[in-house]
Amino acid sequence: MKLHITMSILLLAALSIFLPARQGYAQQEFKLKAGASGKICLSCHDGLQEKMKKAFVHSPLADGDCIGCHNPHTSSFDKLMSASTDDICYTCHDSVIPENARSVHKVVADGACTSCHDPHAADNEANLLKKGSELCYECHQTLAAKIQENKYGHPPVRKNCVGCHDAHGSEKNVSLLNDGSPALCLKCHATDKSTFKKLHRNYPVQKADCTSCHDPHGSNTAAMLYDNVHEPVAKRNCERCHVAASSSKPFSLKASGNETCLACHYEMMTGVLNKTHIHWPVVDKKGCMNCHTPHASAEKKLMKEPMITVCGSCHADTVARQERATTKHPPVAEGECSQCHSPHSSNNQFIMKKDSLIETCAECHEWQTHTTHPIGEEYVDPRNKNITVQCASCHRTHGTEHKHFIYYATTNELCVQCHVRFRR
Amino acid sequence: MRKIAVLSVLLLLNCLFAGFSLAASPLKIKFLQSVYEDNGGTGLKSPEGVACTDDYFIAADTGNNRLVKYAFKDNTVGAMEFEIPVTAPLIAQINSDGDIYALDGRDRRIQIFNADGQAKGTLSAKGAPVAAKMVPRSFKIDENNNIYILDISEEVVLVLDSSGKYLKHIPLPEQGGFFSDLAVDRQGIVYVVDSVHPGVYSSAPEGDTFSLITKNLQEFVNFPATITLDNQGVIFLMDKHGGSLALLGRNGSFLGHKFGYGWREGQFYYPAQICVNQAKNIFIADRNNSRVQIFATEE
Repeated sequence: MKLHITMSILLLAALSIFLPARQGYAQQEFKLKAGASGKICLSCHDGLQEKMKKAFVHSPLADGDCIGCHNPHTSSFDKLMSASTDDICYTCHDSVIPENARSVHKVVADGACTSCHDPHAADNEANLLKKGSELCYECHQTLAAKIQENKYGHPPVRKNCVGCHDAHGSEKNVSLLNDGSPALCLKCHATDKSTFKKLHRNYPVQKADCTSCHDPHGSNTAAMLYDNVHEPVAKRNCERCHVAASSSKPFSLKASGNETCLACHYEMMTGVLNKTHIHWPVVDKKGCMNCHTPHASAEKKLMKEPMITVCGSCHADTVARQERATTKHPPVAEGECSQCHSPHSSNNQFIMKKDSLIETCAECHEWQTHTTHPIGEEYVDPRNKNITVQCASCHRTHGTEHKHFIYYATTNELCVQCHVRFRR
Repeated sequence: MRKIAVLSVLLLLNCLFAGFSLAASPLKIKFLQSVYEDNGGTGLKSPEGVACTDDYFIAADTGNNRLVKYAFKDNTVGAMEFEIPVTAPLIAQINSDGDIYALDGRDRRIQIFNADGQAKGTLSAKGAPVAAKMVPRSFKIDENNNIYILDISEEVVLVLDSSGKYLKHIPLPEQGGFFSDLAVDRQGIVYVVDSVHPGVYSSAPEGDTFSLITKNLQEFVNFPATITLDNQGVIFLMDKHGGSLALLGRNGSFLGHKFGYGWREGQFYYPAQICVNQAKNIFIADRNNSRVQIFATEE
C-alpha cells in the first residue's frame, strides 16, 4: 500500500516537471511568442478586451486560452473554430444533457449553445445573453405574450423559467421540468391548510397532477385554472363524476369509461352513436378521453391538446402529407380538422360534416358553385362509372407534392386522365 | 428408415425453396374483373366489406345498406343471386356452412344470415368474462367456424365458438396505436394490424398475448387498415390511405408492394376489406371507387 502511494506521488511529481517542460519545448520548437495561445490575440481583437470587462467571462478567454476553441491558422469552420459549432462546446461541457434524458431542449440537442450563451463574456451568470425569462421569451414568444397578459399570473414563471424547467434537459420529466407534478408544485404550495382542503373539496389532490386543472403558466381564470373549465369542476362538483372524497379510492370514477360522460352528455352521445360512420376511438376503451381532458384545458371543447396534435396522434400520415404539400390547404395546415369533419360520427364517409364534398369545399371556395369545371352528381367520372366528378377527382384535400394539391405534376397530365383524346 | 430420412430432406429442401421463392419474388397478381353493379343496374356505393369462397362472394354494399351475393366461377363473376338489407354493413364473413355474418355500421352488432340470406339473429357472446359492452371493430371466422372479434371496448380479441359460446380472449398489445382489423390463419394463429404505428402482431393458437412480428412498416404503408392471409400464410395488408397492397411473409418480413392510389382498374381509392379464397383469388372492396375488384394470383 505504502509503495503504491509513493509511486503515485513520484509519478505526479514527474508529470508536474515534464508537462511544463513539454510546453516550453513546444514554444521553443515553433518559436511561439509569449501568450500565443490567446493573450496575443487580444492585441488585434481589441473588441474582446472591452468585452472582458463584463461580469462573467468564459474561463478559456479569461485564462488567455483562445486556442481552446479557435484554430489560429486555418479551419473548416466559421470564425476559425476548431470544431463545428454543434460540437465545440461539448468538448468541455459534455454533461449538460443528462444521460437517457426524457426531454432535451432542442437548441441544446442541435448544439446551438450560442442562442443562449455568449461564448466570450456577458453581464449575466453562465454567460447568458439575457437575464431570467427574458432570454426564453426570445423564442417562446406566444407563451411569453400569454404569461405577460394573463389576468391570473404565476409569479415564479414571470420571474424565471428555470424555477421549474432545466434549460438543457431533464432526466426524468417531460417538458424539461426539473420535477414532476405534484412534487414540483409542492415545493412552494402548502397543502395542509384548511382553505386548500376546502377549495379542493377534501379530495387528496396533493397526490394528483395539479396541471390537470391548473395552468402553470397562468391563465385568465381564477385560481389559474385553464381557461376552459368543465362545468362540474367550475362548480366544484367533483362528486358528479368521482366517488366521495372519503372513500378508499377517492379519485375513482362512479361509472366506467364513456358512461361517466353519458350521465350528462346523454343526448349528444345518443346522436353520435346513432350514426353509420363512427369515429372508432369514441367507442373504444378510452373513449372520450382519447381526445378530451376531463377537468380543464387551454383548448376549446376541453381538447387535451391543439386539434392538429390530437388528430395527428393517430393520423400522423395525413398531417405529414400536409406538411410535405407544395400548396397548403389552410384548414388542414392550421389544424382545423373539424371544419370539414365531424369528429365524433357522421352518416357520411370520412365522417364528413356534409354528405356532398362539393358543398363542403364551397363553404370556403364559394366561386366554385358558379364558375368551375363541370362537377356534381350529373357528371360521371370517365374513369369509373360508379363515381361522379367532384373536387377530390382532381385535388387531394390533405395535400400532394404538386401545386394546388392536384394528383399529377402538371395540369395537362391531370386533365388527360379523363380527356384521353388530348393525350400526347 | 432410410426412406423416411430421404423424404424428410426432400421435404425440408422443398420448404426452403418455397420460402426463398416467396421471399425473392412475391405473388404475381393479375387483374380479373371489377364489379360495379347488381343485376338491376344499381351501382355499388362505397362498399366497405367483401367475403369470399371459391364459388361466390358477398359484397357489403355499405352506401346502399345491403349485402349482395354474386356467383363466381372459373375466374368470372356470375349473376347476382340475392341481396340482404343491412344498415351500412362494414365487414362481411362467411362460415363453412355458408352462413353470412355482417357487422352493422350503425348498431355495431354482428348480424347472422343463413346461406339463403334469411336472418338468423344477432351474435352475442355467451359466458364471456369480458366484453360485456362489446364494440366489434372487425371480426373473422376460422375453418372451424370459431369467431374472432376485435373488441375495441375492452381492447381484446374475443374468441367464440359458432354458437357464440366464449372460448377465450387475448388482450391487445398495450403499446399499439389503434387496431383496425384481425385475421386468423389455418393454424389458428391470430394476427392484428396496428394502423397508427403501422405493424402486425400475432398470437399463437394457444397463446394469450400478442407479439410484434414486423418492424415499423411506416416506410412501406401509410395507414394499413385491413388484413387477411392466403392459405400459404402470406399476409395481405391493405393500405387505406395509400391505396396499395403490402405483402408480408408469415414471419412479418416485407415481401413487396402491389397497386397504388387511383381510379383505374388495378388502382384503389381508400380500399377497405380484402378477402382471399382457397383458389387464391383476391377480392378487394374498393370503397371510394364504389366497386369490388377481383384478381387471380400466380406463383
